[in-house]
Amino acid sequence: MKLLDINDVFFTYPDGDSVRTILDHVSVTFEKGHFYAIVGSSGSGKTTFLTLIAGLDSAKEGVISFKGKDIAEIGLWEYRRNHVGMVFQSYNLIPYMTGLENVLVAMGISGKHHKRSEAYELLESIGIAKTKADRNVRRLSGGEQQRIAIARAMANQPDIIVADEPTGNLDGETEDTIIGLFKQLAVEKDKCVIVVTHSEKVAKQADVILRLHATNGTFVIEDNR
Amino acid sequence: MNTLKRAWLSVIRKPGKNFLLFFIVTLLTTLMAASLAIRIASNNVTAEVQNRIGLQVSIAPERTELAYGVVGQHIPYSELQKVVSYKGVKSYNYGISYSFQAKETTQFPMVVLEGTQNPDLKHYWPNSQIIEGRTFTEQELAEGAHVMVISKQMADYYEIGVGDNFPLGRFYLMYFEPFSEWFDMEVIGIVDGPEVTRNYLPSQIFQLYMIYYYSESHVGWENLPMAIAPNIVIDQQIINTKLNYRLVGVNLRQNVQMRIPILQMESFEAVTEMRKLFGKKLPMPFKFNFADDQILSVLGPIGTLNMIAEAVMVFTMVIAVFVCSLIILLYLKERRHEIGIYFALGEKKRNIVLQVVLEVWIVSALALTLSVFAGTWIAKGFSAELIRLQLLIAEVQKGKEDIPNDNIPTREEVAAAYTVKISNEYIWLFTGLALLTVTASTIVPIVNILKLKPKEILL
Ligand SMILES: Nc1ncnc2c1ncn2[C@@H]1O[C@H](COP(=O)(O)OP(=O)(O)OP(=O)(O)O)[C@@H](O)[C@H]1O
Ligand SMILES: [Mg+2]
Repeated sequence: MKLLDINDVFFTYPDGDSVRTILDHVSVTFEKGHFYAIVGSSGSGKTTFLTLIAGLDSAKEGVISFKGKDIAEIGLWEYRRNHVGMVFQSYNLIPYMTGLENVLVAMGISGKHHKRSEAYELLESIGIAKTKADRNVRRLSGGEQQRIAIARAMANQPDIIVADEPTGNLDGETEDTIIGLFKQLAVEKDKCVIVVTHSEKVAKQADVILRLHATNGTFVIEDNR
Repeated sequence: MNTLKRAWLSVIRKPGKNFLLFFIVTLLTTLMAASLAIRIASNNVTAEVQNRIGLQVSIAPERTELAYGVVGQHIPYSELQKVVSYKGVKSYNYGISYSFQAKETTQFPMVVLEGTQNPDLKHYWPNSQIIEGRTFTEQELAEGAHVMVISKQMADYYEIGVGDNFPLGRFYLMYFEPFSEWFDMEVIGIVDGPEVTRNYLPSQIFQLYMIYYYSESHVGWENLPMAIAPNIVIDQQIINTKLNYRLVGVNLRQNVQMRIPILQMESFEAVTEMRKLFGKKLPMPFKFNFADDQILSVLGPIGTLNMIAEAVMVFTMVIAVFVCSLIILLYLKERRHEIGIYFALGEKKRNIVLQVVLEVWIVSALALTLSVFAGTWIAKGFSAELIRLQLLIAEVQKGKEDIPNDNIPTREEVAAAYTVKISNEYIWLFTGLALLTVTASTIVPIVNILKLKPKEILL
């Protein structure tokens, strides 16, 4: 079943007096239970593409539909609140809160559930024990912070999880465990996981690799399934 | 986690950052509290003073004339009638008193006949009671019936009681030719109490001697028996009598005592109208003392204080909005990542606005509790000093032209009424205004953060 359908999307940025085309009428589909990797040279437009999927920006042309419905119609705020989880390279946790509180904030916003026990459980499943969950996030390692960010992305029980270079700031070993977590989410939790990465090692673990070409603004899709 | 909890965490987890806002809000709201306390206190005084002297107009001779004793002290009854017949006059009180003889022989003390316009005798003698008979009817007062309420002392002395007719009169020697005139007064009531005898001062006795020059043998001059009768009766008995026409060149009015007529007006418009209609028509040397003049002379200094307080308050509120806006703006700029996260998580804009407002309220709540007390404390010290000075100035100015009038509150009374208290009204008004101010300071910062784009902040 098509979860997310990117149909003929066109995106440009203003570049001085002219415009620069980033995505030139791109069409891709994403499905549940799969792990997607987006690769491409720096400045090719990976992050830009991800923001469109995540509902942080809207395409100039074309339609992005979630379960057959245009996300613009759903409303980007509502789409983000209910259907997408986001993970960033720089974690972007709220610095004066504990890991647990960061998850609880997201749960509160989604309105789906608020229970502390559920938040602890979620963190536990992502490898954060209670003692660490109750620690201020600034006193956690990068890997631990990113785990909490993943738990937060799961807080609204989304179908889609997008991540922009989630292991960019982490060492190789931690990278493996974090990517392992993403794979697990796709396989075990039936999520649609879309990760932007610079690492071929990461990309190789994906079910589908989308290679973005900076020059013509289109994807070359490698299906490894 | 709900919005309130988020706001609470952000305040308690970053006390250092919030301290600046707390400090500024405390400082400025203390100023607001102080000026508000002064305002409320002075409004209370204003109300108090207005209640006291209300819509009163009094008629009295100018002080300079009194001092020279050129003319008698009381306004002719006919002139007063003209004034009180004006429809804006709700009621009026005054009293003429005159000492009449009780018997043809001068061995008996004279009787002081007090005039009244009011059947309620408490108005004249607050601590005395009618022990027998009754007081006047409105009709008797209006028509000038020859009836009187006498003191217990007089009843005992002359052995008269309710229902008796008692003659009063005057007895003169004109060019060594005796002349007298008598009129009967019916006793309708007897009053007893501490105020019913009158002590004449030595100077007043001297005045009496000027006319009753022959009556050196009079007894009991210091404690004259008193009786009350309708004003008109007394007026008629000294003006429209045969005796009066015989006594050419003698000013009988010199011996007339008069309470200052006090007119209770319907409204302030009536007071203004009265000033226009009769202001210049009173016979010399009488003049109106308008209640609004009196109010102004007493309230002037309070008004000044009130104005200062208001200016300080408005100024403080404007400054507060400006300064607090700036602090909140800078603080939120530092937190743009956090706000970007809320945006990315799809938080509703109104909840983000609510969080900012709640955070400011939490900080302010603490600041306001402090400033209510600090402000009241400052207001007490400041206003007590200022009002003392201002009232002193007002009194010096007032003293030049005014006449003594029991109804004007004294400096001490005003200062006493001027107490800065923490009332419910004050707390609510202050909280309302302070919260309005701090809430207004969130507008610019909120507009600013709502323009943020999470994509640009987070990625
Ligand atoms: N707001 C913007 N306005 C104008 N140009 C932009 C804007 N954001 C990004 N760009 C440009 O668009 C291009 C694509 O940017 P994007 O961030 O999507 O690249 P990327 O593939 O994620 O690169 P990297 O691998 O370095 O993160 C870049 O050349 C960038 O300079
Ligand atoms: Mg990027």
